[in-house]
Amino acid sequence: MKRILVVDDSLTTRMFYRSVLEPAGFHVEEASNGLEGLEQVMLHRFDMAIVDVNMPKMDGYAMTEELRRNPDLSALPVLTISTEASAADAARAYSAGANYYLVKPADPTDLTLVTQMLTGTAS
Amino acid sequence: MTNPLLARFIPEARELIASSSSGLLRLEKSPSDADAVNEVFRAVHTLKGSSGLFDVPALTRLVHVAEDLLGAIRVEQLILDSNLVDQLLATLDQVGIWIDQMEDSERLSEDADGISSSMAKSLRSYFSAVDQSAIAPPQEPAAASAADADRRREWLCLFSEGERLEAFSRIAERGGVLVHYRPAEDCFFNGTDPLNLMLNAPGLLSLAVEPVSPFPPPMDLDPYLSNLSFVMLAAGSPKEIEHHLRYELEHVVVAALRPSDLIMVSGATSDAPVWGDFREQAHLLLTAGDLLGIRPRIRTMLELVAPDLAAASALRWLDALLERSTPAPDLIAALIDATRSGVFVDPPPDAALPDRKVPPARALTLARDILAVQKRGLDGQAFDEDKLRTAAGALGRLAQSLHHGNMDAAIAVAIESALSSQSFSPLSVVLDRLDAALAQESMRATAAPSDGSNREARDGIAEMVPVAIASNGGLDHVDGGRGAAKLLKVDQAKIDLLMNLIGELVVSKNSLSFLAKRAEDVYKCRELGRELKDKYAVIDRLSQEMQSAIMQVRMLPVSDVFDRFHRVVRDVSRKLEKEIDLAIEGGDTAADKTIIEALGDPLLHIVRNSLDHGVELPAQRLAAGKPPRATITLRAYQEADQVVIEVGDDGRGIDPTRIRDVAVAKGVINRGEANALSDQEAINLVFRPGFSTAAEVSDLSGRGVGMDVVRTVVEKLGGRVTMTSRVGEGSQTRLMLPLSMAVTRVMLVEAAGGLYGVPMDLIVETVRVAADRIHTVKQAEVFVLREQLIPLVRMSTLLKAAARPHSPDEAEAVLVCRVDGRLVGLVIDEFRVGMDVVLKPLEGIVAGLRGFAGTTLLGDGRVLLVLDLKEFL
Repeated sequence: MKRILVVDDSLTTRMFYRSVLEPAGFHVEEASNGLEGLEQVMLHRFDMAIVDVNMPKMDGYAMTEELRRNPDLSALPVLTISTEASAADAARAYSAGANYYLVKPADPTDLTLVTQMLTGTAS
Repeated sequence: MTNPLLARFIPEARELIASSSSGLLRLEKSPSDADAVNEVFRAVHTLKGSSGLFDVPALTRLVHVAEDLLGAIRVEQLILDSNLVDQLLATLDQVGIWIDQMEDSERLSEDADGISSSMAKSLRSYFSAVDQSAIAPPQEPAAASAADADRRREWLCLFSEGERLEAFSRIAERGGVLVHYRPAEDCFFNGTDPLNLMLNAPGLLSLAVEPVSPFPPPMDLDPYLSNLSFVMLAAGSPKEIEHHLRYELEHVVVAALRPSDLIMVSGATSDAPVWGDFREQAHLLLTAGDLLGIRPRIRTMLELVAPDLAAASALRWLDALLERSTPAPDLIAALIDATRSGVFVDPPPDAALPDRKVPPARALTLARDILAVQKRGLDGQAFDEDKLRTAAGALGRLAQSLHHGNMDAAIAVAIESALSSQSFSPLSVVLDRLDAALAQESMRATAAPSDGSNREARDGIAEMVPVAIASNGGLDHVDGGRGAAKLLKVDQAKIDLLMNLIGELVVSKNSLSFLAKRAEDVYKCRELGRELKDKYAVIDRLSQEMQSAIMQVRMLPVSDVFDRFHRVVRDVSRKLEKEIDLAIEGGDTAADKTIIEALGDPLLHIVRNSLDHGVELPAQRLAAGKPPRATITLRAYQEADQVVIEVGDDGRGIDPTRIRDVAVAKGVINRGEANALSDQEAINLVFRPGFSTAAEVSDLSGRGVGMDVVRTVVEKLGGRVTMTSRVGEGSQTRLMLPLSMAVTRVMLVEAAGGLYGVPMDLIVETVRVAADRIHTVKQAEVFVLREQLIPLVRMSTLLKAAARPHSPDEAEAVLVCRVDGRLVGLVIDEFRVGMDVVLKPLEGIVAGLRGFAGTTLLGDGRVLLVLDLKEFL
């Protein structure tokens, strides 16, 4: 089972991701900010990280950048999610090393599809 | 509440509201506090994001406007003043009300939309000075229902066939929307620039502008009123457009477009025989699947016929359709038929597909978008092996996910040649190839949504989600993850249940030691007895650890109650025109949740007393030689096993003389008693029922809830309250509360042949008093303890039972207790051990029995009655 790390400071949002991804056959773990997320991906193996952009302590951009700096994690698929549908935000996420960018509230179907595609799971 | 997601959202939303309110207050004091701005912004931002998961557009919209304002404040486009703080706080209050409604009924009241609009409007007015384009609100998807189909058609007719043909290919690729926008007449006064807004729309393909009503003669024209409506064709998703038009959504209709929606055949009909031949051949070729064979025939026909014929129009569409890729046979057949009828009837399969369900097109669109992102990451970038592998990995997984499994070899080769040439281009080539393949598929999928098992599979996904949400109840999902969730929100009832169970465990484990004793004494089996004792020691330790762990779970920081007072102090002092700061100390001191929660009301009353009566007006303070700004201090700290909470102010203090006068006037005591009281005792009169020092009942305090209620609440929690004051310097109220309510420490005492528990917190000390040290004063027994005269009460008398006979030269066992601030000596038969017990209140027919705090089970199964000395004496 593919392991997904969901990094978001909102418990509701994390639970939402869980409710979408678990029925689609993913194992979901959570972290509530970038620092925690980074800690998790360093400690455990994950197949993908879903990262909120706006978080306390360490935001999603910084977490993604930090993670890409680590050779072991440079290939970890990262999906950033933000409430802003702005090209600038997306560009920032991509330059930080994100693989894709979705706008909140993410459509459950899109989220499932993107997660499948980024983890190489058959849909 | 049936929706667990909502159940989770509500407490989170309340926390966010609380933290943004307190952040705002901090910000008002120090507007340059960048941390506070960020904190408030983030909290509101998160609130908006989470609320978007629920169907509460009124709430989401309002929060979004607030977020935009805060965003402007953050980048210093806007200055935060007190009025704006008032507005934002009012907004948060309103959101709080809505959250309450969501908790009660899972939806907002009917007036929510109205409230949301008017509040949003007044918030937005702060933007007047700011560039309008910098602002942005959320969207309410205006789903196009079947009833709108006619209107949509009408709007589509505004575009020429050429425009639609051009839009067709773009929309086939990316999906598209039809937008109708009729700005409000007075929109120019709100700083809205409708044309500019339209021209800057993302993915704009075509724009049509029309007057709403015919323009009047120039003399009567009011150039300040907008009389325009816009219809726009754009590529992309409705979300993108709605986001762009978020401020104008009430004036906008956005409908998702399928490429086939654009197909309209218009013109004169003519049915020359040559058309019949064409149709026959075309249908034959179509059945044979030879789509390429149809195109030359179309070209030929187009050269033959007049371009204004409906048939020609149908041919042009057919050509466009075939040019792209392999479209749905139904669609082609319909167009072929249109060459005769002049009417194009969109074949139904698309329409039968509900919007919510995923056409495979969605997956392909996303996949192609993901590819584009990976490609952008490579193009024009310096070569980097890690990047290469990241992109190659993404590409491989994507291909795998879409069943293009045969890409693996190609990718491997590409990586090798990329590494040797130190460039990304070999991988880019593979990427493009996959993209091209997907583009083909995408076209097929859009045009022929009725075929393919893919869709069924994806429909399955779409339907599973709500089911999953519905069955996703309670804790199990949240803590299912190993160690990842650092914070867990749990229903208090569950913790209480756990605590009760552990309480029972603690008590029933006691029976093991009795069992061990019985094994030794009764069954003469010392070996077993010893083993039982060993096991008992282990279980004893474990259960104690469990108990203290569960108590920790229930502990909350007092800041949970303290933090609301920022708002109270601010609002009330503004209202009273006083200048007051609130200082909080020791906010992280923790106490049991029950205590923290019960503290709110008493503290509110005490603080309001200080605000209302304690602190003077700035002018009065200056006249008294004090700084005009007063300070109210909330302080918490732990002292032994008690939490002490102090509320202090540097106001005028309490005048004991006045208290005496008021008490006499109100008949609380008579003049003689009043004069006999010390100043401190006079101050203590405020705790008497029916006492209120406020000469007039003000708006704030003195609503019939006096300090006596504060005292009652605090004592019910097992605590005490005292007040000290110095005239002109201020007053201080001290609440002393137990750390935890769960376990009571009692001392077991023997009295009148029975075993009773006395709460340890009342016991000052235990002494043995020789009979000759007991004196009789006016028929009451007393003894002297360190030069203090202490009255004695015999427990046997209180219990109305016979005392154990004992010889006169034996010293009496006396339990010295502090009850209502006075020391009392309780004469008992014998002291026994102290122990922790979980008190159970008296229930059933004995529930009304006074004098007992409750019962608990002893290890040997006996019931222990715990005395409530306040009632008892």
